Amino acid sequence: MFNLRRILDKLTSIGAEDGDLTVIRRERLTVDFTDKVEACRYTNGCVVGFRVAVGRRIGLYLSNDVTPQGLEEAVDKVVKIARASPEDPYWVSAPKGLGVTSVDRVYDERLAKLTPEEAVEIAESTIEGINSSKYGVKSVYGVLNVEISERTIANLHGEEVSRRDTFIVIYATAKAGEGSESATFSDFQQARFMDEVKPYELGREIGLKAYEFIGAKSLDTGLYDLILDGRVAASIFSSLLSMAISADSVQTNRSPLVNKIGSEIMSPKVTFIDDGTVPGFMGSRMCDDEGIPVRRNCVIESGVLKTYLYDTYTANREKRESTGNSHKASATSSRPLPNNLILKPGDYELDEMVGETSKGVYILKTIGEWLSNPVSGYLNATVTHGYLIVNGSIEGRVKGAVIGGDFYQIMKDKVVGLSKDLHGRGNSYSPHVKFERVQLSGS
Amino acid sequence: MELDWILSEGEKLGLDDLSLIYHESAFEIFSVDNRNIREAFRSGVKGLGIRLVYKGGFGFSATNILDRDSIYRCLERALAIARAVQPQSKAKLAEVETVKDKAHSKFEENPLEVDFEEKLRVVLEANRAAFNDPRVKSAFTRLGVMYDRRVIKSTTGVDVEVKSFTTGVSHVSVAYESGVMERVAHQKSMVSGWEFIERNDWTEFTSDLSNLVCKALYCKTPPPGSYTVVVDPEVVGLLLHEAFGHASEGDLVYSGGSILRNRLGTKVASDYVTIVDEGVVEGGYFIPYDDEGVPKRRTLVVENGVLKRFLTSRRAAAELSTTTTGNGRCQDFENIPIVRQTNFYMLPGDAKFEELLEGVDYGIYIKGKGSTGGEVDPGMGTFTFSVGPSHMIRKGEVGEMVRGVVISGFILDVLRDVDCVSSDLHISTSVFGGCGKSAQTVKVGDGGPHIRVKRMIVGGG
Repeated sequence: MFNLRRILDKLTSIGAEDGDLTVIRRERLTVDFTDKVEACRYTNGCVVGFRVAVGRRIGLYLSNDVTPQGLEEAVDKVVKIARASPEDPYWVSAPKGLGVTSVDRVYDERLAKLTPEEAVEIAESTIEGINSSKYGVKSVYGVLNVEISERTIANLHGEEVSRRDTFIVIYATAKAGEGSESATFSDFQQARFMDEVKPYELGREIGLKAYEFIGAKSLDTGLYDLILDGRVAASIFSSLLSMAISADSVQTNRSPLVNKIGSEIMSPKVTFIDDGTVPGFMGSRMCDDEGIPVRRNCVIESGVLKTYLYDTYTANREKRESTGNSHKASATSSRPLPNNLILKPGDYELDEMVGETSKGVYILKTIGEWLSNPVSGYLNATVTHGYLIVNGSIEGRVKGAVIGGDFYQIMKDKVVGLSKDLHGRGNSYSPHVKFERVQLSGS
Repeated sequence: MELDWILSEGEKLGLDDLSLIYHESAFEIFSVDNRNIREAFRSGVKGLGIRLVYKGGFGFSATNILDRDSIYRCLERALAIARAVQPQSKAKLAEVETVKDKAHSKFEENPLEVDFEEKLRVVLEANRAAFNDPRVKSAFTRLGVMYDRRVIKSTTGVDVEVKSFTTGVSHVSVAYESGVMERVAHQKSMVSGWEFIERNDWTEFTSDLSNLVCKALYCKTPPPGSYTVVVDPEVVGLLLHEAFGHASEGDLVYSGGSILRNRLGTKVASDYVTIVDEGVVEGGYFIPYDDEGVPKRRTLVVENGVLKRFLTSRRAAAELSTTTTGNGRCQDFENIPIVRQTNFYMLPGDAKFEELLEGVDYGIYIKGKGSTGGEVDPGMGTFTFSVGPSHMIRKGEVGEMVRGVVISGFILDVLRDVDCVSSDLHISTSVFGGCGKSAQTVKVGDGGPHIRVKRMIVGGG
């Protein structure tokens, strides 16, 4: 492979004054399946991302041509781009003080050595789980994705740091019945270690849920108590909060949380933590994408906004430290975003939440929650799978209603309680959350 | 890049089929955030994807190291994977016509050769123009340039090169007053050279968006419920692509994941609805051949409400015992072609826009500018879309603006309720975004005329 120091020296020799580069080596093993294994894919590659400063002029360049000639060209191009750019008045310097935090269960040797044969077996086990769940239930679509990555970050200050990560995600969809008497259900398992996935059990659960939702009914428009399944809640929080608590959105006036530090923005029952150090969580990592060690940040404590999340650039604008939240798109441009966004669990059992609901819906699955507006704070999500609750009991299955409203008002005035357990979707984690009297638009 | 030797090696290995895709691309983004340069970015990526079939087993491997040894190892790895899959998979591929062609999109000025300074000037000026009102608190503008070149070769005699340039500008304005914050985002792109950037007034584009977001600040959201709606071409395109187009993709049909399975030849929409998928069309993305080297012509998917065809790749066509429609597409050399739409749109009717409004006593004119997209469950036909600032319709007239509008429902109900289609047609694509499926994003185009739908669920923020 290539010599990082030589590239950095070359950058300096042609006029780069500051900056960093990111080298990502990535391997992916993917199995696509329907009711049988369709294909298996393996790719490996390497990209180099440059962020270079000439004075306050910044250039960004990404290349996957890692031949000596390709890298020479990349170095020339990024410096040329930097020289052509106007000055960025907020640029201070590339990150300094690179290092790592000790984080367990982020790299699994067994997963890194998974063979195509083993990957196919996992996919088959998922299919078997679905197809054996109930008569007439069939696996219709799925994908198993294993990713192994190694990231090295080096800067012109002479510092260098590396981290390694493994991920496995199994996603599958089952269909039960045919025509108007049919239903689908999709679900996934995500993990950092091989021993955390249970493909057969996942498949079986998906199959049973698809069967259960045959004949689900539409819902009338009205006010309902809502119990959001932990993963639905996690996805909604990720859509509405991740951008809003980013210092980048705050500094550019694209967050509803501008000037809200110290204000009570949610119910006292609500505490949100950003923590990149939790063993085995999807966003856990030993350093952020700029090479700054990750840490635990209490973002909202008992409803009060305590901090935004920072990378080096946004931290420099406020003359403070990065919180270790850099996420780099294309290995070049950084934005601060949560590592793991975690809503602290409460003390409810799910059964208790249902039992104490006189008219409500337990929402198992939604689509379109990512269409919510993090700038205005409007929440929107369409319920595809929900349980109607009447007088403390589940009375039927429902679909097709839209949840809408002011997210911050709902989080401040409508939270009844949180369950004891935590559920993850991507790098967002939440317990089941119960809200009272929220508008649902149905047919 | 010399590829024929790989095909010869493949023949020696006794493969059922061998397809190669050599892909090179360059992407430039220049972004300005609140009058300051934020990103001057360029990427250059190239590599080779090898897909093969060995005794019914599919194998795929890709590499960005393009020396002979690395490519040979990549071929061997794809073969090893096919052997691993082979006991479980009995894959077939539909026959394709032998074709040799080079198809290049039209352009006057190569946008990659335009000075960085000129690109930065355009985007800085556009961003500054967005601050035309003290209520505009934030403005973010991007200029995007994309170059894409694909060479597809296969042992079936395919030898195709497709090359295109796409350019465009996107912008988001955020306004704030009296505790209310709103944003409107929009983009305009074209398969074109630099001339598309030069011939548009981007300061007008961004200042119009600022005017719109300031106006939207004072708007209410419509009461949730069911409405008669008139839908503009942008939302028609989004709705068709997401909620119907995906369901018409052959891989979802044969696997059972589509509501359109077993419905060929049946009525799935009203008589007013005719839908096509077409590779090369004004305003859309440039896809004269798919990534299996199959010509992408116009595919009639729905004709006067009757479902006529599914979209297919070679694989899906074999599974459905039909021919391929040229819809096998991949994001890049690291991905395998799967069934994807190209430019999916509704054909215009003969009504004037005013005729669509006539007879609507109380409804909503749904508009796309500022929409943030949508999501669909293709197995159930459920969809949800967040649209842009829209307007109430009262007694046949376009009334006050409303914001935070979300539409949702079941696509077949919506298409059956289409009762009037206008004679206009607008198709668009985007240099910035694309359509995601199976962790792959590809460029698409979509659109249509204005349509009227008797009943649609509308939720407000």
